[in-house]
Order: sequence, then C-alpha cells, then structure tokens
Amino acid sequence: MDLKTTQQLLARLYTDAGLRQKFFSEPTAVAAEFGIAADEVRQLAHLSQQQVEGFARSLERKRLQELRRALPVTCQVLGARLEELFARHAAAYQPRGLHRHAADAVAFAAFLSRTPSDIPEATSELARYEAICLRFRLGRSWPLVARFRFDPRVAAGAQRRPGFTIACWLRLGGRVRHLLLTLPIRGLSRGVQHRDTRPTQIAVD
Amino acid sequence: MLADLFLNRTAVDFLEIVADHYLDAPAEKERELELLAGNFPIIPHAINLSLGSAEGIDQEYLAKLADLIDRLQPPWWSEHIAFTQAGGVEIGHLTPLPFTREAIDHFCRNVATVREAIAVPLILENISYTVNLPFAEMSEAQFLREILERTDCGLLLDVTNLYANSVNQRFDPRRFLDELPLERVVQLHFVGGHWHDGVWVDSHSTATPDAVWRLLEEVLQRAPVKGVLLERDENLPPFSELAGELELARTIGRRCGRWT
Repeated sequence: MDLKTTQQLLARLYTDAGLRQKFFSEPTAVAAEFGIAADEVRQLAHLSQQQVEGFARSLERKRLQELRRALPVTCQVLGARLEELFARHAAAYQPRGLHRHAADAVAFAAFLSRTPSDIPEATSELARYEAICLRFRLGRSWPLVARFRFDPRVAAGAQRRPGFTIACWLRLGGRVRHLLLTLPIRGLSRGVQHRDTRPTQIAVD
Repeated sequence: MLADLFLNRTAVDFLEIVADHYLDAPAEKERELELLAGNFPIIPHAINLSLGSAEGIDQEYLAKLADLIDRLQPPWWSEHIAFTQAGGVEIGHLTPLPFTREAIDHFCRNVATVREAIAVPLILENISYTVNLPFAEMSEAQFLREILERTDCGLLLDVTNLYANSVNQRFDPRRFLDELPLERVVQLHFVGGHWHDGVWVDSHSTATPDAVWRLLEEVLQRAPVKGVLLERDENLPPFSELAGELELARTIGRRCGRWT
C-alpha cells in the first residue's frame, strides 16, 4: 500500500464517522474501496480503534471550539442543543481552505436555517447575523446590507418578537462598523450605530 | 493581549505568528502584522503546508506563504513534520506520518519544492500524536533524524510535544533526545497542556508543568538553541504570568550558557 493511499484512507478515517464505523467492522470492504489489497489489510488491522476514535473526537472538539469563537451568541443561545446540532452539521460538511473555521461557522449558520422545525427562527436569524459579521470581517471592502426577520440584539433574549431589521456593515477609517435599524410590528423603534470594539486577536502561536 | 504586549515590550524578544492567520487576510490583520513587525522580530510558523503529503505541495498555498515570508524577511521560518490533508480532505490538525522510508522520500521531495519558492531557512517541528500507525520501519527519533539530515534543516524542538508523546507512548524523553541530532536544534517551543480521557493533550492552555521545565533545561544544556518560545494561545492568564514564564526560560538559558 503506497503512502498516498494510506494518507487518503487515514484522512477519511479521522474525519468521517460513517467510514470509521464501517472500517472497524469490515476492514476488507473499506480497503477494497480504496484499492488496498487484501493482504495489506492485515497491517491496517493493527490501527487502534480507540486511538482513531479519540483523535477524531479531538478534531470535532477543535471544530466546536472554533465555532464557539466564531458564533459566540448563537452557541450560547443553543446551549445544551449545540453539540447535537453541530454533530449533525459536521457529519455532512468538511470545511476547507485558509479560512476553514469561518467557512465552518457560515455553513453551520446555513444548516440552522435549513432546520426550522428544530430551533426557533429567531435563533437561526441570529446565527445568520453572526455569520455575516464574520464574513464581512474577513475582508469584504464594500458595504454590505442584509435583512433579518428578528432583531439580532433581542433574538438571544426572552423578547423574541419578530421585528423587521436592516443591518449594514461598512469599513470606516479602517475599522469595521455596522448599523442596525429595527422596525417592530408596532412601528419604528430605534436605530443604533455600533462601533466594532472587539479586540483584534493576536495570533501568537 | 496586543495592548499588554506593547505595555510589556521588554518582556518579549521575538514573536512567532501563525502564518495562516495572515494569508488572504483582511486589511485589519495586515495592519496588525505591520505593527508587530515594526516592533518585534517575527518568525512565521506555518501549519498547513502538509510537508508530509504524498500528493505533493499545494502550490497556491506555497505562493502565498512565500510572499508573506518574503515581506517579513525573518532569520528562519518553521513547519511541522506531519501531513494535514489527503484526497481532498483537510484533517484540521497536524497528523503523524508513518515512520517509513517512503514517507521520508516524499517529505524530502516536498521540502526541495518549498525551497525553490522560499530561500529563508526552514526549521522543522516534531508533533505530538495519539494515533500509532502500524507501518513503522524505524523509531520516531530515527525518522526525525533522517529527515533533518537529508533535508539539512534545523529542528524546532517542541519540548511539550516531546513530553506529551513520552507520557502517552510511555518512553523516556531523555533517551529520545540521545537519538536526535541535537546540534540541529534552532528553536524550542514550550507550554502546558491537560489530561483528557487518559491522554495528555498539548492544548497550549495551562502553565508549563515542572516536568516540561526540567526537559527544557536538559535540551538547553545540550543543544545550541537560539530562541525559546512560550506557545500559550488558549485560556490566557494575566500577561504577568506569561512574562514570568518567559523570564524563567531566559534564566535557564543563561544558566546553560546559551545567551547572556
């Protein structure tokens, strides 16, 4: 078995729960999918299921930890349901690229919006709002406008009244700023300008 | 953290940046890098070049990394002896290579490719791992030695990774050091981790434990180390605690005659 095939199989075993389960119950069938000869399967059988499962869980924990950073309020609102929902999302989506954690967060927000029966609409709107903030912060120069069915500032709290909200993101003086305008059912309430004052993360490894 | 860093500039001699955070980065990150580079020597530390990939090097990633390193002109830069992607799957973490001659051949070819794009010296880091691959033709120390000698690269010895592996794989880290080409050590990493499900995890999240300090001192006594880096990037304590650890590392290095 050449290194290329070995690495392709390992990468899938580390990241694909379904393949992992199949591999440790029917290694020969999985090996055949990867073009691995039957006599080479004996070598693979020495892979420790406990070690591979442990490493896979650590990868999932790392993704979840990054998600909590990327969509902090959404994750807080989801509370005990977060891990289960994230596991469903992670089983179907593998992030790629330099901004893979941001991509993962954006895809998770999209996943939440596709599962309306599972979570309140206000929460999926909150996730969409945080995902747009993240995408804008990652480099868009031109102003961005988005519409929401709930005010993201109150979507996290008890007052989850629908309220038509317009959000605008722009860069002024090199800093990200955004403007929120909410129109509740009973009429115009307020417009608030927010300055992005979150400290920039220093990337010291 | 950035404000603390500038308020305590004399406590820090150099910084290491995760190179990936500054590739395709927004303007704010570019300005942050300019600010840091204007005030500290910066060592780029790449994490996704996947030097151990049998599929070769991602040329687009390499071009971006080369551009970043060219702008910073550091004395050296670093990557890991590992692979992070295969067959279109990004694993999301540094992953061990099988300790085989074939893996060494691919690794050396990839380093040669990288050197065509980046002239700044590359140093290679040992990783921590929890999966033992069943294809080993040699020990990990022999594997590292052969890679370092064939590529003629320096070693970024992560003392905490060595400690983690010695605890999880149950070996004597001092005997492991005996097998390494210690004359190639350029830089060290150190930090604390934590126990999870019976495994010691290099999580960069706690103060450096005594056992790692002892190992750090042993390496500083035996290897021509140029720089020591505290790799704390999780669960950050007050800056004074980080500065205290840096000062202790500095003192140990002085005691070992590595710097004045």
